[in-house]
Amino acid sequence: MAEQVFYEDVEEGLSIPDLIKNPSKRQLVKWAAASGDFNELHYDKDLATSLGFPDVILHGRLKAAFLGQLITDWIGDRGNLRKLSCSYRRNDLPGQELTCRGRVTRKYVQNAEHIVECEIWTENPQGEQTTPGTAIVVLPSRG
Amino acid sequence: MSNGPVISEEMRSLIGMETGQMVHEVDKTMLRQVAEAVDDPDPRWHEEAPPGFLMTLAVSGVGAPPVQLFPLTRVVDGGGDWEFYLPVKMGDVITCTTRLAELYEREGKAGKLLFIVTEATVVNQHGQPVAKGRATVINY
Repeated sequence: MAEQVFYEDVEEGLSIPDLIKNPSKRQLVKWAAASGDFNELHYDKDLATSLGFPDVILHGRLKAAFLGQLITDWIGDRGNLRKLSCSYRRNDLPGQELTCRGRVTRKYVQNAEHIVECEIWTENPQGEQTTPGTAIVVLPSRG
Repeated sequence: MSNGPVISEEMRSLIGMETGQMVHEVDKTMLRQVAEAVDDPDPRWHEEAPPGFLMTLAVSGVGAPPVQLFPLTRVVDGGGDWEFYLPVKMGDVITCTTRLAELYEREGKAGKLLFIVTEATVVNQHGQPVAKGRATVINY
C-alpha cells in the first residue's frame, strides 16, 4: 500500500496512479455470484455472439467497482470516497488489459472538509476510454 | 416498432414506485466475495465493505421495475452514480430500498431507447443513511 496522500499533496491536473486490471471470464462469474447479476451476456458466449458481441463482456458495475478500487488505493485509509459516477460507454472483453486512470480536476475546502474532485475512466488496449466518470473524495490535511 | 412514444401512461404512473426492499446482514463471507470478485486485496475490506459492495446492491433482481410492462426487450446497462455517507462494516444490517426514479426516451441510431433509472437508498441498523445509488438501464 502506498503512503497516505494528503490534500496538500495534490494539485489540479495531478494523475492518480494507474490501476491495471486483467479481468478473466472466471472473474466475471465471481462478480455474477457476488452481485446477483446473472445476465447471460456476461458468461454465455453463444448468447453474446448471437447479439453481435465478439465475446462475453464485462459487467458495467464491475468496471465501476474497479474505478472504486482505483480511488480507494489512491486515497488510503484516511481518505473517504464520497461520490463516484460513471457511464458504460464502450464494452470491454475479458482477456484484455483494462487500465483504470484518473486525474484531479478541482480541490477546495468546504465545511472544513478537504475535498478533491477527479475525472476517472477505464481505458482499453486501443487507448479508448470505455467507462468515463467522476469521483469526489475527502482527503486528510496536514494543516 | 411503432413510431409512437415508448412510455405509456401506465408506465409513467409507475415513476416513484418502490420496486423492492432487501435486508443484508454484512458478514465476512459477503465482504470476501465482493473483494475477490473485484480482485482487490486491500486488507481493509476484511472488516469494511469496499465501494464495489454498493454497486452489487441495486441489482439482485429485487430492485427491478415491472419490465413486463415495458415494450422494448433488449437491455444494456447505461451507468451509475453512487454516494457514500458512512462506512458499512462487518456485522451491520443494512436495508436497501429501490424505487423507479425516472423514465425517459431518446431516439437512437437504430430506433427508440428507453432509459430506466432506479434509485437505491441504503440505511443501517441504526436507521442512518449509509449510501445512495442510481443506476440507468437502457432498453432498446
